[in-house]
Amino acid sequence: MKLPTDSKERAKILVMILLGVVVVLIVTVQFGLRPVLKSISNKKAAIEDTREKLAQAKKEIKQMSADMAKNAETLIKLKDISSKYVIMPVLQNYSLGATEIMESQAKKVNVKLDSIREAGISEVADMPGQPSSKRLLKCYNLRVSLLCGYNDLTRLIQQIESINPYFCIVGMSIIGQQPDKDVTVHRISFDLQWPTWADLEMPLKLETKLSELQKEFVVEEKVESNEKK
Amino acid sequence: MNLRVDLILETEKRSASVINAKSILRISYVVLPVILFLIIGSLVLSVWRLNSTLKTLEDTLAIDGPKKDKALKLRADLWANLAILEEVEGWNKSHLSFHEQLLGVQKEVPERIQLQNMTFSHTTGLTNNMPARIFALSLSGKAVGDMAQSYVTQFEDRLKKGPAFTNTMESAKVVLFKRPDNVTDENKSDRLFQIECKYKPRYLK
Repeated sequence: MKLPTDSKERAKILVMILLGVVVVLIVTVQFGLRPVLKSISNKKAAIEDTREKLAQAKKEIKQMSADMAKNAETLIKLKDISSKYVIMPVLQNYSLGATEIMESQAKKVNVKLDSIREAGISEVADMPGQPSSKRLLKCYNLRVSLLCGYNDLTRLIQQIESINPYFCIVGMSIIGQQPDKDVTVHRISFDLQWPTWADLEMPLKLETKLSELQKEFVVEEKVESNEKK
Repeated sequence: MNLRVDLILETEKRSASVINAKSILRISYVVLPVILFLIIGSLVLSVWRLNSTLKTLEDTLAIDGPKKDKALKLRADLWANLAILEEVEGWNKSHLSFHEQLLGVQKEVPERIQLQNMTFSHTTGLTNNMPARIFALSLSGKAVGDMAQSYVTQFEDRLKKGPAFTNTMESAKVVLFKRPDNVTDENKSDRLFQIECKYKPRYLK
């Protein structure tokens, strides 16, 4: 194509071509480049996001075996405490086991208990923002009465406290005898709180949780060793 | 004489410059499409590269994602179990060693004091917005002799500062100090007393 010889016409044509090029460029940028650039920027953001998720996932996975070990340790500790120190009813009866334990401890220090009375089950204390019904432990209450000397009482209490650090004596009354009676012995009664699970299925649940965790631990170890191979 | 006559027609005139409109146009026919092609090509290439990177990352995440969920579930289990343990341990922490308190009272009571009644009591409630056991001890008896007041004060002081009580006792206060009802010449200096002691709160958590 030849440009017109007339300089004015030629200038007009050039301006038209320039305008045409500008329009083509604008259209190309607007409808071709911009969406592509936007898509690139979106993909970059998605990559960054996925990388972050992946890093977080790797961090959690790395922490998993430590968590698993700590969880197992916690469950073993809980199971141990539950079996040794938390009282469980035998056929809905708490007092049979409790009386047996108290009498055997009293026997060990040669003290005779006059009576062991059950005082029911109560809540421990309210937690802020948590109703007492949500608490996992409740108190099994016992009232023990006896007639003995102060030293015998101290030995009995020491004996009781030594077998179960979770026992909580919550009240005690020591009343001296009248002068006409033996003043070396006193009328004593004390209230004892024994922890018991609010949910009586808790020991079984702990046992199940622990065995599931141990199974998972074995599976994880196998997977890890396979990955290493 | 040298005469130059310009016989070239207006339409035949050509610019002597290397850069003229026509040459620019000719060059543009080639260069602009090439530049455009290069730009589009590089963009397509980077989209393809980004797609490939994203896919690789998503594939890895698809494998690690469920593992992470499992790890998070395990962490939640751990926290739940730790909360149970904390509540259970609260029993141990809030427990007051009564045999130590009994031995402490026995050790600290002055010789000229006869204890007649000793009562430990307990309440639970929120202290500093934390559930706690609060123990109290009430001691009543008789101080014998002319120095009765001094013995009672001494006893009150020992209940605050004795080794068995320093870490556990919050306060000890004489709330009653009086002459017995049946006064004779023999016991006219004797005094009846009552001391109320309050223990520091023992937190359940």
